[in-house]
Amino acid sequence: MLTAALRVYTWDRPTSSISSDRLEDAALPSLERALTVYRSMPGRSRGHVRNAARLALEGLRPDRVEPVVKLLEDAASYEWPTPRGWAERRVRVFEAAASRHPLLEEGAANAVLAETVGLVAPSHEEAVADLYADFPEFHVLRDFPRGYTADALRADYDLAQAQALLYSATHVTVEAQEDFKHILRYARLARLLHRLERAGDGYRFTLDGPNSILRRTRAYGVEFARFLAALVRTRDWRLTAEIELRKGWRPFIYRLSSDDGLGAGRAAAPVFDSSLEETFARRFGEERDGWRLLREAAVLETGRSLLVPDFVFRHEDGTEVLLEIVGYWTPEYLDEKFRKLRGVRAPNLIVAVPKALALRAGTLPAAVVPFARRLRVTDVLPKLEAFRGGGAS
Amino acid sequence: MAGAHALRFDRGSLRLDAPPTARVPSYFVWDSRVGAWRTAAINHLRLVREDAAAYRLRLNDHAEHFFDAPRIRTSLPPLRPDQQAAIAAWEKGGCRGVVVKPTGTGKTEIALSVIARHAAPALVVAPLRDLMYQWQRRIRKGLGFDAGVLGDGRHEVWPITVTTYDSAWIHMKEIGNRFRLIVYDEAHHLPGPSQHESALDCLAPMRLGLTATPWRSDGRDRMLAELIGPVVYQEDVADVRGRTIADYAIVRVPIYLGEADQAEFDELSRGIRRYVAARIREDGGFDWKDMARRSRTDPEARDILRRWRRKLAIVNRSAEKLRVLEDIFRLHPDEQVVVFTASNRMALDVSARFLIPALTSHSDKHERNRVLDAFATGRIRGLAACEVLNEGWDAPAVKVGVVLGGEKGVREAVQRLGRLLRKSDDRAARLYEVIVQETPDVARARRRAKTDAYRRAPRLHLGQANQLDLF
Repeated sequence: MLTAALRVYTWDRPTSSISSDRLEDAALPSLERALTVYRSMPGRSRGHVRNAARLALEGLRPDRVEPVVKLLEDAASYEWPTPRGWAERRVRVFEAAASRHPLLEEGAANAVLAETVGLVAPSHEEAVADLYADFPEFHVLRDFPRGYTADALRADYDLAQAQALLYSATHVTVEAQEDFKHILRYARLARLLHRLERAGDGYRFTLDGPNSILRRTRAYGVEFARFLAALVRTRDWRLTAEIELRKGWRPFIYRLSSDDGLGAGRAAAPVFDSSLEETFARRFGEERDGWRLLREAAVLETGRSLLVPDFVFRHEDGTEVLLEIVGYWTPEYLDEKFRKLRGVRAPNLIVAVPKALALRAGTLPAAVVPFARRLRVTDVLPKLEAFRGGGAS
Repeated sequence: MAGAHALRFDRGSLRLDAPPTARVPSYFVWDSRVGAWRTAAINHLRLVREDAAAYRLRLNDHAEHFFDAPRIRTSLPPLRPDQQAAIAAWEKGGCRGVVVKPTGTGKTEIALSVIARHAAPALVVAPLRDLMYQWQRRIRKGLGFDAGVLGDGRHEVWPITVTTYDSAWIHMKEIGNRFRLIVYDEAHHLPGPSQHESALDCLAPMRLGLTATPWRSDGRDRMLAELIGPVVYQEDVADVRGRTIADYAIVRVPIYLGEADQAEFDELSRGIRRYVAARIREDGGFDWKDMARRSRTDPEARDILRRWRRKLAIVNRSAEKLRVLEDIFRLHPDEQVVVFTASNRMALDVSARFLIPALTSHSDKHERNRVLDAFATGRIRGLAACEVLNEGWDAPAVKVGVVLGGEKGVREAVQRLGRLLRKSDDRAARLYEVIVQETPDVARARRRAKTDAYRRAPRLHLGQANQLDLF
């Protein structure tokens, strides 16, 4: 991730909108040149490599140079002597020099260097680089990933700039049509709290932290950034963030969506939790008999917690049916799952359970479809149709 | 406790599990996300001390989760009367408030003594990494306790912990209920736009702020009273001069760039002037700030910015500065000298040329501690330091300081000076300011001369200084 000092953005006062920087195709040759620098300079000091990369990036807008260099640095690997040992060595030199302090002539300094660490007649530059070889400036480039392309670098830049702008966010809302389970899981992993409301066919998640209701605070910016890195792996979302660049300024509105193609090249979220779901979805197809299949596209409240059923079937006539598949899991998982399902108040819920659990599932406030080894489409379709005429069978 | 409402510390806030219909103080907000009332952690003291009774709230209070009293073995020097007065004033103010005392008058001892007197688990917040480690050293020496370090890649939350303002802001959400006492060193940093939230996210009932210069140019210093407490004790630089602080003189050493550097410098300056003059003819309101924006699209502006940076580089790293330093070392062969530089790189240059240690933001703590100890005992005679030592570093009675350019603000100058000028015997301290003539360095020196303490010091030129006491 970039530091806040390295972010680049543009804003528009009249519309109060702000956008994070993205690189155009025209930037690719510059990126390619900088990558060549890193690939071709193993053995040189970090200071050298960085400066060479800066020169290679001269064609780039100047405010973009440092963030690109930072991303290149993140990808590169350097080596250096252990700081502890090298500091010991350095202090030895200084203590040896102290008895002759002050070293008014350069020759006197060189004599000490020769006696203590065997460095013979170095230039001033060499003396600095040797004494401070453990300092970042003098670390030696060891390796750079061959497969890192200009396109990948650009994708990383675009995402990193978007993340860095979120450091100054006070609130984030996400509207989505599906993948709710993943979105909620990512929010929880980023330690964010959420509020939920219906928005059209989908839902709107308002994300922030505990203190956000007490004051406008940017304390959760890093959490938002972390959340975004995961969000870009899901489908069909729109994000809106309030960005407070400076205390007391009117906030800017930052908009992003899955159409922006951020995070290209990152592994997409695993689409299904289990092969059970995957097989079912593949057999059902996108649409069948007027029913469209959506994944994780509804949220049910059950007491304090939320349940995101695996599938939503939406019929052309507007009927909506939810399907939750209870797979083969640990007893603790099943207890928790049944506890949640019993708290659900949804008139159009189907629960698919392995045959062995069918009896136990009988008490659930839902239509139950037992299955052996895999869930059949032909078992589910009649249940769906039953909801169309009003009410479960 | 039946009918009592649970009160918990929840990531920087207090969460009260009472129904939405309950009557609660106005600083509570209903949080529908979790179905409970919420308020800032700083309100804990007034809630339990006054408001719970006033609102007839029965609390089942789990908010505090203080460390046990740290096991300390105190070996502090006896306090001076002014230090005792400061502690008395703070305790009289309900153990909440700010002590204003000039640099070098023993603020650290006040804080250590407070920790010892109240046997309080304490969090000490310092502005810089180096000062954090310095506090750790002082705590080990004065209280015989190994304080935890929070920040700089370490996450040690122990009964006494030291941290920085930035780390405190990030981590207080998790640790704000572990400490009975919080100490803000250089407390004028606290009212920063976000940093102040560390004081809100923390429920420590005892709060001590320490500073030499409570004022801020943005006027936010008033916030200190809410976040820590009012100023309970105040002492000015003028009160302590000659008592704890030695007299000092400033020697300004103008230097001139070498011929090649000067020629390049002039050429760069001409280019910049031409460009700016042309822009002003086009647009009367043009100023330097517009340059950065323009440089995004205008290659010429980009070039001008590059020239300007090159100019700065010439000034900050001129070989001439090393030669002048050689002269100063020659004049003070027997004294310890501290050299302040404007850049890390200059500190390393000085270090490699004279083989004295350099302390920069990259130095690791073991090296730093070792070097500072060696310097304190006189085993090492010189020290080059970049900005890392700028505030509140306890220098061992240094008599000769050199500033090689690079100043930022008024406050920094006061504190840099204060630190240098510790009294050990009756000899006056000397501060050399090495300035490149007719360059931005001179402008910085002019700004600095406006500071109060600085103005009172006698001002000499190198020529006069030589006649005066030939060192």
